[in-house]
Amino acid sequence: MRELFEKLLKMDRRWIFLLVGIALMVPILKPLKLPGLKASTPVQDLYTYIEGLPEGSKVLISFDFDPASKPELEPMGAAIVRHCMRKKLKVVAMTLWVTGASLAQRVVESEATAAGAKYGEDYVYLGWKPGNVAVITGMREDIHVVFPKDSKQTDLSKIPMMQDIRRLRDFDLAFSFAAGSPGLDTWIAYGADKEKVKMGGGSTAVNVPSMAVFVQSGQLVGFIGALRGAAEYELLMNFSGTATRGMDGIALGSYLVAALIILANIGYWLTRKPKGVA
Amino acid sequence: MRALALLLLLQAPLWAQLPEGFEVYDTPGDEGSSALAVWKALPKETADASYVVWRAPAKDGPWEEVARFPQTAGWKSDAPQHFGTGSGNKGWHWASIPALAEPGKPPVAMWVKLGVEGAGGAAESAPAEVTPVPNWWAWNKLNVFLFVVAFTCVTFWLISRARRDPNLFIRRIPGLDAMEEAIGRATEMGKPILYLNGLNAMDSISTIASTCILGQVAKRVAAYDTTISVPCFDPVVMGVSQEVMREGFIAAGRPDSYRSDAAFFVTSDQFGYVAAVDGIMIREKPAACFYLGYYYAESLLLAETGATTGAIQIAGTDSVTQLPFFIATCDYTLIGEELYAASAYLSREPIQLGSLIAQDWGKLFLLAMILLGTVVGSAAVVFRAPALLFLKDLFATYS
Amino acid sequence: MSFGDIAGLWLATGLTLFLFSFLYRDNPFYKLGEHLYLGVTIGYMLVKLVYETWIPKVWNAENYALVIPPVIIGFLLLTRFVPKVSWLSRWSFAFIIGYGSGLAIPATFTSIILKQAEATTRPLVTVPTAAEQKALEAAEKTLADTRAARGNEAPETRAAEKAALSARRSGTYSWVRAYADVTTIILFLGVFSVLFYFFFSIEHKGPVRIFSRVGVLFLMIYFGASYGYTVMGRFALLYDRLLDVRKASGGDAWFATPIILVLMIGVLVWRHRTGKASEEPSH
Repeated sequence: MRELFEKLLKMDRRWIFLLVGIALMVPILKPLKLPGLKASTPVQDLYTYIEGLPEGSKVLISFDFDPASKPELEPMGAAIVRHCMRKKLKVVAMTLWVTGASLAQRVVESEATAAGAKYGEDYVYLGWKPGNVAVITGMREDIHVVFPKDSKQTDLSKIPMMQDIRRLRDFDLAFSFAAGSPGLDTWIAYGADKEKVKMGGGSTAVNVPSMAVFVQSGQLVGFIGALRGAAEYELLMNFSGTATRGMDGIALGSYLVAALIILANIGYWLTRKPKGVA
Repeated sequence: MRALALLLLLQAPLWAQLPEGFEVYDTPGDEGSSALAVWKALPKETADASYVVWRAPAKDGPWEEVARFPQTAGWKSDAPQHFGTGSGNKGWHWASIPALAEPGKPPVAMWVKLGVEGAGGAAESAPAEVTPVPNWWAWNKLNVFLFVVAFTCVTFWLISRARRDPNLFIRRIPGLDAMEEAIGRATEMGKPILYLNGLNAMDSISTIASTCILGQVAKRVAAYDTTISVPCFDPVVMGVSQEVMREGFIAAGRPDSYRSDAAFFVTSDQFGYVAAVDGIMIREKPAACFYLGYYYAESLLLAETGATTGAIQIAGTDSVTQLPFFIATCDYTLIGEELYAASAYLSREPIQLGSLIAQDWGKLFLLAMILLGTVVGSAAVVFRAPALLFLKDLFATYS
Repeated sequence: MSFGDIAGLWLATGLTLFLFSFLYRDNPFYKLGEHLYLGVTIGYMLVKLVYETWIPKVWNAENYALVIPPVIIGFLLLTRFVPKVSWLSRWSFAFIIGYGSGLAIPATFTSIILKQAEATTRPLVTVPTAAEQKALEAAEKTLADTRAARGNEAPETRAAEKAALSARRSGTYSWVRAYADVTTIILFLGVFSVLFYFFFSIEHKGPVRIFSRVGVLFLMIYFGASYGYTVMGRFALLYDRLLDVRKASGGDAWFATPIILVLMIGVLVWRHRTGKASEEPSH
């Protein structure tokens, strides 16, 4: 037994890479549809809040991520845009991350086109501007100064739905889907808290524990945590998107890691040298 | 008779009662983007009836609706940021009226009127004039201002105290004992010590703390006559490392043992650096590995390789996302601020020492406030004395 | 799929496989992928900065008088490349740090410290308010009345039972309330003990030591959660890449995955045989 564990503990880690690869690949080749997905309270709260917004409410969505975090954040962004379109809310999209500019545009356009929304009347994509915090503080004063033109180079003053959206406080709800900084905490500190704008958002898995404090304090009306949160939102929206399909693989991978951690701990205790013996 | 009834119906709007005390004034402490309207609640209010507020550029219009809500909503007590939490808010309504002037343009006067609409008819007040102007002071942020000023003063005072008395008390971090033990073990085993400064440049606090600790480690290394190697990710950090190590060796009275190539530059490519350092670990099998400074995704790759070589490992970083990995793989980890504290403890540098103690004062103040708030809040609930809850508003209202 | 789509898939799949090859060991495919990634990012940022900032905000500025001072401050940063005048860059840094901290300190203090302190300052015990007790009495009365009028099985009785149950939860000291109170107490203990752990100007002895050890326990739970989330996040990234690799393996993508894989393995084996691979460090 002890030798077996000693061997296991010294195993080349590339075997683990292979196992993880297999665990994630199997559900791609053959979906397992594992049961048990249930919406957590912060996701449910966000859904309920959007459900409660009257038609025509103005929503700002900032896609603050780059291609490296796209798999975690794009599904939740798409689900929220889809929900807003379904509720006929006015969506203004933008990004604080230069490398996220085209990603954000793709998400908004594809969801809006699918919902039959009209550019300039139902949604607008402002694009990216440098300055991080300065962009947010500028938007508190006047969005038309920070973004004189949208991403299609049309003057904001000529876009119908932007006529009565001048400042951050004109929005009924703001979102940030953030992979890091500038992101959700930046929007809360420099934008939402100052202007008393309701804020919702989502983050990558790494940042979930540090963002959870804003849910507890009520600075966020709701929160989507990583791909799992996105899958929960898809469940509430009653459709099966990338996030839902990804849950099988992530569940298998997580079980594998949990099993390895337990095994390694048992191995550690069994192979531990008694005290006093060098 | 029918004519009279018709006339009465037409007159009906005038029957609805108007609230008393309607007043419009510039929002205090803002950039001139809005005005506030306040009025006393009617004696009988229902959710079916509404209050409506209009604004216009002139006394005779054109009027534009800017707010509409049921009579049972829009209370002054809902907006402590404007009206505080005094009991005077009870029974008063309010509305915010956006300014007519475009942002950044000179203030423009506007006229505001209040209306009541409901089953009993409709009525409008006489228009009132107001000019929203930008204000110099945001009084609702006074608590932030006072705290920042007080904290700055305390910090400066403590730094000047630390200048006069470098022996101000800070507790010894247990990790420092572990470090000393590791250096001792390396001496016994006759194996080298590996010391990494993290991946950030010299402008990062964690790198500064790391080089300060390196100076003290070098002193011990010189005294015990052990060998140390410091592979660097940044050329400037390499220069600083060489300098602090030289000083350490001189302080220990062993300037002759100092070798400038103990700290050397590897590469500024993240994974190239990892590959090279991992190679050093596997070849030289150091007795102790120190990872102090700021790390990114390479943390686990480094510490895991170090663990397989059987070295005593001590890490210290303020990179919260990498801390779990260091804790899982190292014998001792300095968590976040402990890294700065260890540096201040060892170097006794007045700015580090003074600001560390000032932070303790800040934390103490905060803890005292939370404790007070919690105790009073709990008492308020248990003894059913909601008046005590005002303390909670100290944090909420004015922020 | 258009030719452009297929080319895109080949490129994406190829680069993914190149970078994954690092799991085996460092090799030229990985290096190519890494350098391309860095180069493309920097190129993209440069173009975006020129077209989104320099041209609209500086070149086509409405008022040059307002633009010139910040541009000068910006250019001073470049003096770092000339050692003799590099001290000039300190002026820019002074501006950046002054502006940055002026903006950050009040905002952080309000949103992070005050708001969080406010959320932590909660009564540790809660008791039903007079209104909640009144609501409970009313709900019980409605339930009794409905039961008397409609019998036990009627849907109205069921609805009234449900309403009474939720009223009981808030109107008495129920398990829901107890759970909420315990959560509050744990939160309070956590904040206090962790902050105590980070007190450096008092000796950790006796009760302080015990309390700060509790803080360490809370920290470890946090790090455990953070570790778990990180693993989950990495799996999500891997899943997405595997999805693309799978998408590119079929005939409609001209078998990108198998062809690239075979070529890569071939080159790696050839390098291994000719001894070129031994110059690179392995895991």
